Amino acid sequence: MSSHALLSAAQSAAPPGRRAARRKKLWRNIGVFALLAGPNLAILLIFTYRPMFLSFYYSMLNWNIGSDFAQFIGFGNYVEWFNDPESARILGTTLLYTIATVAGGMALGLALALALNRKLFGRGIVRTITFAPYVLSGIAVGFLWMYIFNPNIGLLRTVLGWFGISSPPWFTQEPWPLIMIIIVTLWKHVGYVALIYLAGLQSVPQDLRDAAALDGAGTLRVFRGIVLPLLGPITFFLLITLTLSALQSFDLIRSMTNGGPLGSTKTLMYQVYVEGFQIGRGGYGSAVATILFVILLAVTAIQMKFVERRVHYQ
Amino acid sequence: MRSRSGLILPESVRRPSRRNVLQLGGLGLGAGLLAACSGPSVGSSDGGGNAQTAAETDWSTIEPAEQITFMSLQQGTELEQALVAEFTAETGIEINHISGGGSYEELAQNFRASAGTSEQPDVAQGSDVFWFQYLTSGNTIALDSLLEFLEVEVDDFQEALYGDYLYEGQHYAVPYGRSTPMFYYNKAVWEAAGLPDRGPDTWTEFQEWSPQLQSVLPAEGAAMGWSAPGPSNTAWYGQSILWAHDAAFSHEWEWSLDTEEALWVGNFYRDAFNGPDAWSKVAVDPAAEFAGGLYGAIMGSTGGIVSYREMLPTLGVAFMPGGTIPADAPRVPTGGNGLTISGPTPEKQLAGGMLLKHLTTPENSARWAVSTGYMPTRKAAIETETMQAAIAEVPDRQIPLDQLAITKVQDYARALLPGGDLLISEHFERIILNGEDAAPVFEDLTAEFQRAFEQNVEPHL
Repeated sequence: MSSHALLSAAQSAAPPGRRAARRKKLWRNIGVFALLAGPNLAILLIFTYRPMFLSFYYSMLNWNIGSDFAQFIGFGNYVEWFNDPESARILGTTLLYTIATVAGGMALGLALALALNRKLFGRGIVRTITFAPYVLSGIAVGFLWMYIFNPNIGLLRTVLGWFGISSPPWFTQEPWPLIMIIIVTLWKHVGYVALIYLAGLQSVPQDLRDAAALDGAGTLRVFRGIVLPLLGPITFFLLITLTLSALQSFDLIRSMTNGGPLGSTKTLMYQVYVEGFQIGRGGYGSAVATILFVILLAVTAIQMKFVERRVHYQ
Repeated sequence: MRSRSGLILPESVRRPSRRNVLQLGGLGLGAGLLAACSGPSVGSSDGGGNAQTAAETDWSTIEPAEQITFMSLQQGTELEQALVAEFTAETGIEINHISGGGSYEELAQNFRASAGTSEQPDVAQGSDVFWFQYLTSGNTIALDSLLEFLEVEVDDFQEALYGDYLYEGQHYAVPYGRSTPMFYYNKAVWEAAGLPDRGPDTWTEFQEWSPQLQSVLPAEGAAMGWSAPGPSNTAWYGQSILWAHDAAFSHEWEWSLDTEEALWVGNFYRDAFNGPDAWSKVAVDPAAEFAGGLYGAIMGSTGGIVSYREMLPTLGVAFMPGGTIPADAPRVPTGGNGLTISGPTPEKQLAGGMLLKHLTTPENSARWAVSTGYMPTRKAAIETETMQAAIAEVPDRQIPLDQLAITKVQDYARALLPGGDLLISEHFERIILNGEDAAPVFEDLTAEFQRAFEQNVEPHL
């Protein structure tokens, strides 16, 4: 007899009073679960999964946003996207922007965290200052940096002029607009990355460092052999969250370049906005959004499959 | 879970598993299938929408709704709030006055997002390049019979401004916050260059003046600073230059960039920015750079007259330059926004019509123009004491009013074709920034016009 059958037999053999108590306990557990998890699940279902799957449904339609009527065209919008020569370029821009902001952000953030981990004068103030841009509105940051980057009257032009360097054409000539957006994104995110890394650095056991030092390991060797592996889980967490954030970046592009010039800063996310809300092609915009979602899912899955293997959890 | 670093991270984040992702996906799939039960009706691609046409409504049998929603960009302004309050005091109709955002694009985005929901406004502003999309999605009504019932004097609207909303014999909006591009120049630069104190009569005259202008401007400056390429301005100004040379983006739904005149204008743009005789630069912040003395002239909306003068006391205001057509022939577009009605019931539509009538009376049109910098949309508004006092205070206000005589209704390719404005801007960037010849660029642009028409207009007409 299987264990399941044994359990069922034992339950049926149990006195009725105990069975009723067990059932009552079960219902109480279900009630508590519903009470605690229900609101969150409802919010997730309504505000995350419902729009997500509605978007997939709309991607099968030739539909203008706001219209009551639509035409079912199957995968027509996807076929159009994959046949559009602009799509490869948009995809390339998206990947370049993502790689530059994720890799750059993590490297700069780690470097900043290492600096802030030392006992320096004014360390607290510097931490606050470096983290502050992360909580600012992306649109406000974009407008602010436009004044700085303005090649005609901007602050950066003046600073570069002190060194005899003329301002690059930040707004008009490739690849400068994309570089400009990457720089601003790094400025905005590096404080957040540094803060997370700093928390990780402060949790690295001192006895491990001391033991390594006794064995004659230098600073670099300690960092490479002990600190970096112990930061693995945090690095992995940052890699996933920064990648997802970069792939969905919109506000800086909207405020600084509008995806231009010549489409050089148009990312997939920005294309969703242009097609859906500027042109009103709800169906096509939803198809682009679905493609972006699949990419997000694939990138996350790949990261988990291949990168997580190298992560050492304590 | 609290990590050793003190960070509180849920287990699924700290150490997410493939199973977590699959669970989330499965959860979403179920929810999505449920959610997919709502949305547009599938099977037809034309007509529909939430605001049904009012052409056959017998308005005399309708009682206006007691409350309507009005979506506008200027919801936060003191004057618009006062105008709305006066309307409520006069009619007893309550207005739920909501913000449409901070730009015409945001306004259109908010309108679309609300379409078909209980939050859809009954009256909404629609910009010159977005109102037609309200129409093709079935979310705005033809106003002619309603305005006639309400005895709105439509003949008193400036023809070009009201005519912008005419499609197949029906008007779909009334002009509200309307503007037109102007030629702004720095009189001090003009004087230093030895030029007469006036705007150029033609673009070629300005081109001839440009070496003199550039000789008195900083090396990094230019005779003309143009708004950074991007939606709206490039296509808006470009339309005027095309018209001045007897060309156009389109004639209704016929594309017309393959003419000799259009190609000449395209290459005029190219040479303005490229080559040894270039006389134009792209401005990131045109007003500030112009006021800072970098440029001899810029183009800008009428809305800038007062603010530009505050920034640059030596401001000169002139008509948009002409070209090869007679000087008094229409060659200037108008822009800005009009008021549309999208209320789902005749009661709300009637109340909306009454609001339109109130907001566009000659006196209120004048008050609105003086307060915002837009143009008075009614001929009678110009004669009001309010407007005359404002002109006496800032005489430059008269210049765009005079320029109205040479304005005309915009090309469908720019104003009605969804995304047309954007397509024009992107293709003109190739000419301006890359220095490409106009012929292949205009050929590509024409193909894009046709594609956009077939995808976004034809199925919905």
